[in-house]
Amino acid sequence: MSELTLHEVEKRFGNTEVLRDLSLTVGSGEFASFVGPSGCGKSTLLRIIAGLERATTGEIRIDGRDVGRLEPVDRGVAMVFQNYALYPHMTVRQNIAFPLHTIGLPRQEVEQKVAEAARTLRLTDRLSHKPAALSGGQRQRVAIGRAIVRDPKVFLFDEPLSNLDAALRGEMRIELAELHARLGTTMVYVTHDQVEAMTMSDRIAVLNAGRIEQVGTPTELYHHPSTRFVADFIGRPAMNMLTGQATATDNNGITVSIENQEIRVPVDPGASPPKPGSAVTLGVRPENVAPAETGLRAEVQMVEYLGGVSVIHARTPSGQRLAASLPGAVNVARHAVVGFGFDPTDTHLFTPQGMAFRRRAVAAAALPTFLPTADGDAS
Amino acid sequence: MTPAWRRYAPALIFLLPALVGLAVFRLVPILWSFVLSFYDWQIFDQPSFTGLDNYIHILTSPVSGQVLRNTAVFALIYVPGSIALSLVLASVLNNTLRSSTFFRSALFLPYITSTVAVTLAWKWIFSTRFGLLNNALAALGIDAAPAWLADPTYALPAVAIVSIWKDVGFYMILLLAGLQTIDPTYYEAARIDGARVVRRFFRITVPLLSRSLFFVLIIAMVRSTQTFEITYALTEGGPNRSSTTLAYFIYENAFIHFQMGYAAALAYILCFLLGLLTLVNFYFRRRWVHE
Repeated sequence: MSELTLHEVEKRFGNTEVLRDLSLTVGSGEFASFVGPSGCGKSTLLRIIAGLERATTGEIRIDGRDVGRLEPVDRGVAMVFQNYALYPHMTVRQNIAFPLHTIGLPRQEVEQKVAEAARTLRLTDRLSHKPAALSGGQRQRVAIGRAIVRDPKVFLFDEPLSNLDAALRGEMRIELAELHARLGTTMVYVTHDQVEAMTMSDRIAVLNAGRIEQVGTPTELYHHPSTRFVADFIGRPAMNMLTGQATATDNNGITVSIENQEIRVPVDPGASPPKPGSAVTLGVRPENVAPAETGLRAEVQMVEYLGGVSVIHARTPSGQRLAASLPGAVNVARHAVVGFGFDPTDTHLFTPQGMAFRRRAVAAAALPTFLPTADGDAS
Repeated sequence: MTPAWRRYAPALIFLLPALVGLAVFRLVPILWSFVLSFYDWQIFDQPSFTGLDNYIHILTSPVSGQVLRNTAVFALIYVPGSIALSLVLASVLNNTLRSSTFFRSALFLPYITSTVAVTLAWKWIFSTRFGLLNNALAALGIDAAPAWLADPTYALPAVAIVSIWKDVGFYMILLLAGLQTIDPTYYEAARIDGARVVRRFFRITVPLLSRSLFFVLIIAMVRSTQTFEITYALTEGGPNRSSTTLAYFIYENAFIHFQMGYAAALAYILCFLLGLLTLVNFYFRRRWVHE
């Protein structure tokens, strides 16, 4: 297990700045994800860590050793590519054995390691097949097999699930999480899919336009996004963003007027509280919005029935979008004007520049806790 | 008019000009030369049927034997030489995209330049006393430089060198097109897997380029037996027939000695040998060509 440190990493292609002043330490055995929209620089960052690109400035350290100028193989990293990059002319066995032959491992040891990896990844009966004869999930596992046989210090994953269908993606998420639990190796995962990042990661770094917007655990990012960008990016359906004005500030929070409704948001006003009348954005997640007698009036535009939940998409009289995610099916007609309510402690408040006011309520405390059953725990 | 005829008639009418051209200029000469190969025909006399005499003479004559040996030696220099050089050039150009357009054009230029004109330039380069090559060798301290075109040992390699120089640009373009279809992530994966340049070349590039290499191999083999203009302009098959290959020998028999039947028989032997080699290549194809 190894620690990965990025220190003030910057990358420019000509005049185009791709990464800016990026610093982060990924702890030993940690599963860290870089998440962000297309073009935010996350894949470039992974390639810099792998040694396929060189940082313009900054340091990359693995276990305290500066590896910034080393060849990929000398860094002790293994990478799983978005398209898997399996050598098409080699069988599964040859693909997995390739890095071992390259380092000149004795044939018997190679065979042993390949068999072990194949067993772990349920590929034993596919060893003599070529990649073209495998399913997407099997190819994915071969790519992982090629990475794990080298016993790397750090695993790098570049959007490895993006070529799979939704069902297989869900399965592979679980397999990857299990693999991480079993190997305990430091893993760095890049994705544009916040669901992947949220479900597998110990910590997530949200990237935006080449810089880290926020780093935190999935629950921190979900409950305490530091910027509007993070709030918008994390969580699906996306957070409702309602614009309004600040009307008053006191020790209990900031009172805002949204659609002619006064709402006191329990946030820390900080050193520069908003002046009365200044613009603010109130954020509330659709899962925290519920039907209410009083509250915001909005016209239902559409209902998405997803099985376990239904998402109502509505529009306020001033044209602002409002979504509510409710359990099960809902009985509401299209174009009906209904009331929506939410608990002010579930809301977020952002400045016009997109910075969040620190929330006072800690929603994570409400997380359900499972207790071991009477006959003992699972282990 | 039957329904079938009505259906195919328009297609046949449109195809007719091409079919007539193909028959007159391809099929008839091919068949006629095959018939001719069983005749003794001095171009100004009446042809006389001689059965397999031409073929038997070719297979038993020491001159034909020497020509066949020369052709084999030429192919052994030309085919691996041109493929290896074009592969190296294509790989280098594939990795240096910025300057590759200029060099791609520069290296392709000999292929489209007049063969006789460039061969005359090479004749000067190979000149024993005033040639660029021997003067360069002298500058490097090699005073006993060979008489390239006058020495029977070096004349055939000299023809092969010029042939390689002329054709390498064409093969390079074919291989470059093949290289550009290889997904660069294979190389990145191989770098992460610890493969250095040479291993990447032999374990990734060559197998993934095998289809293009196979195509180039077949083309190079065919061309190695067809070299005529360079031999004609550089050595005229000499000295002492040391650089006479099959194509030049066919020309010599057909248009210098006017032995049309004999030349036709030579052409069919060449055709048979090429067919045989191509079949052998296709047989071994599945062993090294990645589909």
